[in-house]
Amino acid sequence: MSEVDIIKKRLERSIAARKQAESILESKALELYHTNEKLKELNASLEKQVKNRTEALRASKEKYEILVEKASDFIFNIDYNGFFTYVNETGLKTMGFSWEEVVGKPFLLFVEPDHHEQVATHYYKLRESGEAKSYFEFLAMKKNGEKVWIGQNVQSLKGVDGKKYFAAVAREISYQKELQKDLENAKKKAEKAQQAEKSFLANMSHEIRTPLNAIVGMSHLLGDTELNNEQREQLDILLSSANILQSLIADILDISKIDSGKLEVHNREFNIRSLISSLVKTIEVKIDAKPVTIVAEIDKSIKEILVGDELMINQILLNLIGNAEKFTHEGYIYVRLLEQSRTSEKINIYFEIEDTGIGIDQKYQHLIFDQFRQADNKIKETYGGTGLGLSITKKIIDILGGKIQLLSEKGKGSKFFFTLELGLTDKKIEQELVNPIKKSIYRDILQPVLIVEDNLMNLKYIKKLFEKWELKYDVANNGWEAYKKFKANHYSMIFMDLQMPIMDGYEATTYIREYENGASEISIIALTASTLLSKKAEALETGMTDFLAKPFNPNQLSDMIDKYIDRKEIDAESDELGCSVTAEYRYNPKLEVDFLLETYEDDYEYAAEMFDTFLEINFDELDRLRQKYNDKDYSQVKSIAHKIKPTFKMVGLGELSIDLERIEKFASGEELEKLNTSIRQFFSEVDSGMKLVKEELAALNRFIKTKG
Amino acid sequence: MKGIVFTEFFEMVEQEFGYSMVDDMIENTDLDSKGIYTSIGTYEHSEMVDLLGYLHKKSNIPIPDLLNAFGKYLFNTFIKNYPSFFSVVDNSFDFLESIEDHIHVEVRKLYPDAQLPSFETERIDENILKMKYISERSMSDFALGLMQKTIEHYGETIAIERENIDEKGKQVLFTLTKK
Repeated sequence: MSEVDIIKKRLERSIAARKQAESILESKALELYHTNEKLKELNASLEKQVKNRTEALRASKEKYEILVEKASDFIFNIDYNGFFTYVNETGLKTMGFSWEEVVGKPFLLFVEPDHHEQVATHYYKLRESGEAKSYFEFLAMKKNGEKVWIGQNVQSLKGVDGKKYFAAVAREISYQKELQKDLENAKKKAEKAQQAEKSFLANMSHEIRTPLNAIVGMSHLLGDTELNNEQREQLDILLSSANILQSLIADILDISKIDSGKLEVHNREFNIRSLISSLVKTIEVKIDAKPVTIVAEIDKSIKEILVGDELMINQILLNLIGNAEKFTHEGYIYVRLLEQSRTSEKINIYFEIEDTGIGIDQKYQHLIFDQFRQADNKIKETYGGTGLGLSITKKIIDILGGKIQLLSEKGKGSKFFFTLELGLTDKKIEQELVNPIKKSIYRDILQPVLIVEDNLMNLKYIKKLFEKWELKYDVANNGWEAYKKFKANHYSMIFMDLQMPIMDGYEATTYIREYENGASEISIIALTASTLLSKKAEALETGMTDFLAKPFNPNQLSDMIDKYIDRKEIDAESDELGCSVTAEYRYNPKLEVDFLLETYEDDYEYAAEMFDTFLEINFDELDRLRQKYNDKDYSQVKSIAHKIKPTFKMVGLGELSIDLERIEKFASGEELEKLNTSIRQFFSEVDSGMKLVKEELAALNRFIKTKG
Repeated sequence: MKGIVFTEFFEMVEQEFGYSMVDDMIENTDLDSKGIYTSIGTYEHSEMVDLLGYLHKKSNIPIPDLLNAFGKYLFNTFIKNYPSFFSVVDNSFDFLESIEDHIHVEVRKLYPDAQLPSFETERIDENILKMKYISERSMSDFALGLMQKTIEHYGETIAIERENIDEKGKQVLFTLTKK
């Protein structure tokens, strides 16, 4: 093959290759063209999207700009050196400056010089501490020199450039500041007024009480004189009104004492089981006529003598249980004490008083601990009361470090509960025997006990017991007599009534303690019918050693003697004596046998005497009651009922005593319909009751004779 | 196979043996393309196998040697046409490591239908690089030629050991050791 042929072939191949390349390129060009077209479309759609986005951004920016510019608050930015970088229109307008006068200028330029340091400190802290936000108030200066209060919220933020700056929202608060100042002044004034009111209340209560004691005392004395019927009625009204006034004032005194912080906690050892059982007994007497059962449950683990303010705890529980009794017409009252926790020295006890009474409407529950508040006015009309009880209760619980709480549903009942921390001792509570009857003999006590008591019934009761116990005694009828006798004689201890004419128990105690002048103090036991805390506390403050609440049973009285007179046990003798009394009298079970046994023990002569006195007084009184009721003289009905009510209890006619209590209540409120029913019920039963007593007296006398 | 491989191959053959050898190859092998190649076209790989086989027969040079020489020849074309791939690194190891993840990625952008070998590299230490060649075409000698020229380009002295992982030469492990 020739060289030329090869060249020719090479040329042909080149041409073919070029054509092939051209056609490939052409198809590539076409492909490129289509791709370009597609790209154009894509571009157009992208452009449109960008345009829309830009438009939306612009609108949004405008919206926020308007929002910021026209906001009612000042909005501004400050750089980290304290220079304005932005202020909105509102800020400029209100302060009276132009943009140029503010932006680029230091913030402090517009702050009242006295506030420079404070404002600078706030910014400094925000910048250095890394805290996110801060609010502060300061005086700023407007362009016209006017000073205005500004309150501002400042945040530290990071800009897109990474630089930190402050963003603030502020507003003028001069008006609020003024208002705040006025409010503070008003509050101070109100507090002052309240303080004044409190001390006035406390002082006045004292001032009123002193003459009131005299009124009560003198009324009692007057009652012992010969009076005609009219005078007796008037005296009764006088007495019962004074009594109401007295308890109201005592309540107010309690409240004001608590409020003024004068009520101190006196921690002493006490037996919580006997506290509860005597409370329950007290309430049982009151609920006797109603189908209500009171049940006390005390955690078995609570076995020790505890340390706490027995008076306060007693008052708390008495108020709560008393309330439960008042508002429960049928069902149960539960008193529960549960151990919650204990250490070697302290015990937390959960107290709960639950009843199946009328309950408290949800909407009133937050009010009932307020002073002078009851759930609603109907309660006052139906149940009486001042509305101070729960308030006092709550305050005492507060003082003892607890918190009272309430669960209640209208119509179903109420549950009050709280927890108190009490001290523990290592002394165990001695097992209480059922109806323990102690045979006390005190003939070894050489020096007599002084009884200071103006009430003849009470005096008789105590004297009788002392005689039985062979305890020597002396009697004073009022505080002054007591003081004179104390100076002239030696006594082993004194039982002192609190309310007496001429000189009351408090004053007499003060005199006695002054006379002793710090020398060995004689034990003075206050005898008080009041369950009020202030009276008891006052007795202890005055210098009395202890107190005994009336009515007390012989055991409680002898416990006091055992506690405060040092003497050797004379077990043998007492045993001997215990054995000698074997004969037993059986009371008619229609009477309250338990009560009678507890009150008179085995002293049947004493019981006979009381029964006799009862019959002697009451036939006349019942006639008077009937007469006054027929005359529609309801205040007399009330005072007679009040007067004879306790005597029925003393002879074991508890139910009639309850009837009388209701008569007293309904007569006082002139609720005639209820009064009619109660009176009718009472008189339908009283005759058989009187007959029962008469028969019982005869039986007692027979028994005494045979015993010889 | 991309047309540029054929056109470059013909150029090398022409340079070494004269165009008559090129013509001889075209005339005596049964090619679908009739030996008409353009660098932007794509042709059957089997045509290259046929052409190489014929050249081997005519010249008595073993096929591995032909492939190795072609690799060396093609390196010059690459460095002329795509200098930027070589200038971003300054040594052979870095360059060889960039083939799989960088150069081949760019090649595929330009020729989406290109069928490329793949390389797995492992730097044992600063002086030793292991590079595994994987391709259906068993052209590891061609790759070796490219590697040798690369080392020469960066002015380095590196020994290359090769080890066939399979018999057909579809997977070959090169161990490059710096001196």
